[in-house]
Amino acid sequence: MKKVLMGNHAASWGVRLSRVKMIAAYPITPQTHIVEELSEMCADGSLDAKFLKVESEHSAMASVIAAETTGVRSFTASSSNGLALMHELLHWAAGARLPIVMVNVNRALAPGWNIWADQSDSLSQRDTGWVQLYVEDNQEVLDSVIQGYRVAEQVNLPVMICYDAFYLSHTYEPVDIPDQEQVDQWLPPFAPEYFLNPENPQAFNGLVMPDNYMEMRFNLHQAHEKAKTVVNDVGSAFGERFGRSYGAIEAVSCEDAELIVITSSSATSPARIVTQQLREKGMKIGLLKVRMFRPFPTEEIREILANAKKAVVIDRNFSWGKSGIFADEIRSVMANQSDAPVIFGYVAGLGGKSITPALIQEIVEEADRNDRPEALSIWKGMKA
Amino acid sequence: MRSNYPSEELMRPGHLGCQGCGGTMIMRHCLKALGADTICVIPASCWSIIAGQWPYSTLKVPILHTAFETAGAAASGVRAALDMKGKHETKVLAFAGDGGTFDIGLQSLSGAAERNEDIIYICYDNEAYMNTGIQRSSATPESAWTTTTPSTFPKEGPKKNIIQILTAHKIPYCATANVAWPEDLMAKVKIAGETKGTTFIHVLSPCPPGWKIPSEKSIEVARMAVHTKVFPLYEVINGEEYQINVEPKDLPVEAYLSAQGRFSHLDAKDIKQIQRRVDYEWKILLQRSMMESFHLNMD
Amino acid sequence: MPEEEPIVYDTQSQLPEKVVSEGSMLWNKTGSWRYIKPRYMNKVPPCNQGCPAGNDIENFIQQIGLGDPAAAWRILKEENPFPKVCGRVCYHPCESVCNRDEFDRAIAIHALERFAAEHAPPDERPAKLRPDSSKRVAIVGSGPAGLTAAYHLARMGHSVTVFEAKEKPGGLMRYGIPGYRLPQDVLEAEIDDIRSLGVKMKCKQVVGRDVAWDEMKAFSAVFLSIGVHKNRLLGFASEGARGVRSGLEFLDSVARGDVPALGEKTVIVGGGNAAIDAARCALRLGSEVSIYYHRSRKEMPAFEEEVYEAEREGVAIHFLAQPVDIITEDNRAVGFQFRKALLGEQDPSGRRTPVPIPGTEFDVSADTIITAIGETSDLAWLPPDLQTEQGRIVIDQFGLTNHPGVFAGGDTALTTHNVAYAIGSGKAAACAIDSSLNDKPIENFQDRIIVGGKGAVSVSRYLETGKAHAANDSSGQVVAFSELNLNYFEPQARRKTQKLSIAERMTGFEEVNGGLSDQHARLEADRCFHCGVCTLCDNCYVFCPDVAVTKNSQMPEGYEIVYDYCKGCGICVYECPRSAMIMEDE
Repeated sequence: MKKVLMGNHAASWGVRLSRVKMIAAYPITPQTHIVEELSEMCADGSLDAKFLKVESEHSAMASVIAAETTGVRSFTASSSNGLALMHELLHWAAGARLPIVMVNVNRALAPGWNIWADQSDSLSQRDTGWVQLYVEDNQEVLDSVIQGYRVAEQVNLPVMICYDAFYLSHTYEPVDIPDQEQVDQWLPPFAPEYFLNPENPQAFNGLVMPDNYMEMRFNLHQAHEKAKTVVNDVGSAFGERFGRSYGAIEAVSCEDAELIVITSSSATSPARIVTQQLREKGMKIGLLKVRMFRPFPTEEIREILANAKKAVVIDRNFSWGKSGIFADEIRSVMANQSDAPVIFGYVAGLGGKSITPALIQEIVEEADRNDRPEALSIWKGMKA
Repeated sequence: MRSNYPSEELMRPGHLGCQGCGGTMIMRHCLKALGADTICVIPASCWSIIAGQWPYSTLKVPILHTAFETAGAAASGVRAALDMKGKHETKVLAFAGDGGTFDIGLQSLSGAAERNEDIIYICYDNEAYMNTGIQRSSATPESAWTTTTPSTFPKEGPKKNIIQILTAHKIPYCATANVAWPEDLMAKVKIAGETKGTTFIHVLSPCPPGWKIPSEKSIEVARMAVHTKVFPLYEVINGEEYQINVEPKDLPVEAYLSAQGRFSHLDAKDIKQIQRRVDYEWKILLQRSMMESFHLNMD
Repeated sequence: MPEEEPIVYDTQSQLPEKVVSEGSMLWNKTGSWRYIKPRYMNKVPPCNQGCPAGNDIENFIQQIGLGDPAAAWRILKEENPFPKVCGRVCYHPCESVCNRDEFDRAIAIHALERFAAEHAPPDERPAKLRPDSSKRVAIVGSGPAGLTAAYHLARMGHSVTVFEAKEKPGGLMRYGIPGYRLPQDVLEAEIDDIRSLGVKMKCKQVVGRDVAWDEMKAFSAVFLSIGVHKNRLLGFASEGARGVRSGLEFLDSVARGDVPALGEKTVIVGGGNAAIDAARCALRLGSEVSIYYHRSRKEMPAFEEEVYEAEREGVAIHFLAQPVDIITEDNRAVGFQFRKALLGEQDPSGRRTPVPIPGTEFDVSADTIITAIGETSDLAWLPPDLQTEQGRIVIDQFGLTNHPGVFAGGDTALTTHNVAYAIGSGKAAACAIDSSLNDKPIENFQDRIIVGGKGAVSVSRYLETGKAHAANDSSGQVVAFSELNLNYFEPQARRKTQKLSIAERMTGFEEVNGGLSDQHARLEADRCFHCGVCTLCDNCYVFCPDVAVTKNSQMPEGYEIVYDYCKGCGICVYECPRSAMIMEDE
């Protein structure tokens, strides 16, 4: 069934098809449509779930953690300051190894107040232990929520589906909505090994002494290593069932590319146009979409970049005092690689500024011109 | 003979509570009143330690250890999940200290209470952040010593009236309780367990190290809190109908204060001031207990 | 027990994926935190120490509280053959030491004793506790001391013969205490219990006259409980006049139903129980009665309660009146002259001595004079080398005289003359006689059988029946009022017994005091603190923060302290309402 849906409603549909049983959320623009639609679905019975309208994002995540620990598939969504408020509990969710799926609509952080696209919110949560997927269009939003649960429940890690404010959240696109029956066959019911159960009374998340804490954390690390494969496997399996495959990365025309543009989220779409046009003009250019930020697809990126001379990373985010974050991550995984390309880090589109094809083209041409970047991070698309 | 004290122990020995710990007694009584079909939600508090380190647990009911400020929300989440599993009979007990209730957890508690979640919320109030080393909380009584309110500059202002905050949410049941009245405490927890919606019980929890009292006097000092009217025992139905459960013996507050090292710096003037406040609060409570309830007037 | 073993993960891969518990904390033996530890230790309740007859008072009251007065009676009978008598006539020193007296009012122990005794199953009698020993014991005198010794020795398996000078056994219980205080059938029932044990009662047999002292040698042991039957004399020549009688003789004839004719005005001289009893009898016989006593009210040896009742009934008591002489006409008493006195220095008994005021003589008219200024024993017939002192046979703590095999007790050997002390002395001697018959010195049992520090003896402990005084710790520690946790008690009115109205009393010798109703007895029993004796109130169990007190019916206390986990906080001891626990060093 095809429907024209805004990105937020695509997320709602993903939740509904995943037969989520418990939702807790707190309003924040530009995420609100997701939960508005979900409350309609709960109200009309099309989704059999309990919706807690909690008093904060912090409580949203706390109650979702609790529900998951009780053995029920749960969901929440947030954005920006809301996600920042959840920060402590993002650690809890991952440390407790709970397969929660949440949506974060990437929005800039205050001050000044800004409700528009910016990845700094979710990238600030980089080290909380969550799997993070940055998706490009509304179809991928829906598909990624469903895949998110299958990934999460296989590796016992929480999964955050991130997409850009307004570019996706409020933009209508035709979306194919899979049949519930097919999703049910593809995504089995949630049946955790451990859950809060008076018949087998166990304590969850208690005090861990130094003799075991590091080992516990090593477990978490191993789960992330495993997730690298699982995300790809699930993406392929999804493709087999529903005709749309996904992976940790997507490489377009990178095999012989000398310059590879690296993007994430909605900025990938204009980059596809620009790189295709330049390729048609004879430039050996490729495009690498990094869909999975955590765990970081280190090996795949090294393989793709091995034959390129230049890698041009466009970041809609910034780590203060350093660099665009994707660029920095790529620099770090390419360190000590004998055939590493020169890495150009560009920062663009913060706080909702458009990353237009023209801007991308300007960036590519500048990188193509220069042997080396003039700075670690080059800010583009600003007033002079 | 207390034949009504259930013999089933849902709290086992070997736990890490201090000698004379009121909080452990409260947990034991609560679980006896609620039974084994209970899930316990414990935010950061002494009980995060008392329950024992991983991979152990001193309780025979499941525990969800959760972040400091989340007892109300986490209990709500457990409740929601149980309801979705059809486990409506399983009780959800949020068991939080005064810090997790009066201070950092007040918001999530208020949220849960306003939604009237079907949970039992027990605050075991030892009147300071005992687990972190006796720092003042908003539950610390006026003029008390703590490690952040030295005796030369003791706690200013009265203890926060948490019951008033909760009754303002019009939840079906609020009560105060005390370890020195275990039957009363358990009866209240039982009522809480049988009541649909959010129930809140504020239990005074003597803390020998924090209050600077000998461990054997834990019950004695808690009892004096009631008899000096410092901590009256009462219930509030639907946020409006007050009922006082134990008639205090009307001892002077000095009896309670002088039994505790945390008040040893007080002089006669300080004690008089505290007595005045206690008398005033008692008068208000008496007046409330005599008011006809809103629901009665509806008929 | 695997639950008590710590869980060890040898490799990282053994760890569970989640921070989820897989065991209990039972491996953590928190008992190691402790430096002092609690222990159950029953102590002696002050009432038990204070009962000269050695009753296990706390225990029998507990049974009444549990609704089983027959069990209460059985406990009483383990120590004392006369609970029906004592429940009526004992001056209950137990009540004056009752800790409850400092809280509101003492427990009405005597009323509860009577209640228990009156609920004895009608067909049940105390049984022998040991098989026949074939040892013979003679008892001379059948007052409370003699019959008590007879009762216990018979239960111990010995063959007991009681020699009694009068027609019936009972001594002063029968011939000294008037029927309005102790009905004869009540006494008779309890003597029957003693007879049923096979005790031979040889009445109208005066040892030294009808039976030669030498015949006593046929017995393995002799117990002398001959009482005090000689009235002290005022020493006036007029004492032989008509209308002058001794108190004991007067009471004796009243008891026999040989009611003497009295005049209109009776004057009684004396301040002891015999004086009061004689006065109340004389009132019932229609005379106007006045008592004259040479000291003040405070020094009166009579039981306060009896004095109070006598005055309510109309006896006028005059104090500080020193007898000067009986006024006679034609050798018939017509009055008494007294002299007023003041109180002077204390005498060796601690009472202030009256000092006459010269010139204050006054006359009182009377047609009957009863003298009741004290009684002594007739010891003339005894072997001359039997050691005596001030008219009393000299005995040790357990009744042994200076003659091996000869024991004594009761008023003839004691300075304090009352039924409870007499019973106590009979019990002590019974134990000493039994141990001597078994060739074991009584000193070997001393620590075991003495209850508290006032010399009360427990036969049950001597025989190790475990039926009475079993709960009291042999350390002998008595519980003080300050050792109780009074938070567990509320003031409760002491239950009163019914009494006949004054008018009803004057119609004859009907018993004045009634008993307690079932309901009142239960309520009164519930007032008992049970000082020093665990009543399974559960405080220790309920308040233990460490779940280290468990219920265990196998343990004598009913609870067990699990020392593996007890942290030694001391709450159980502090919250014990009755001081039945102690803290002690590790």
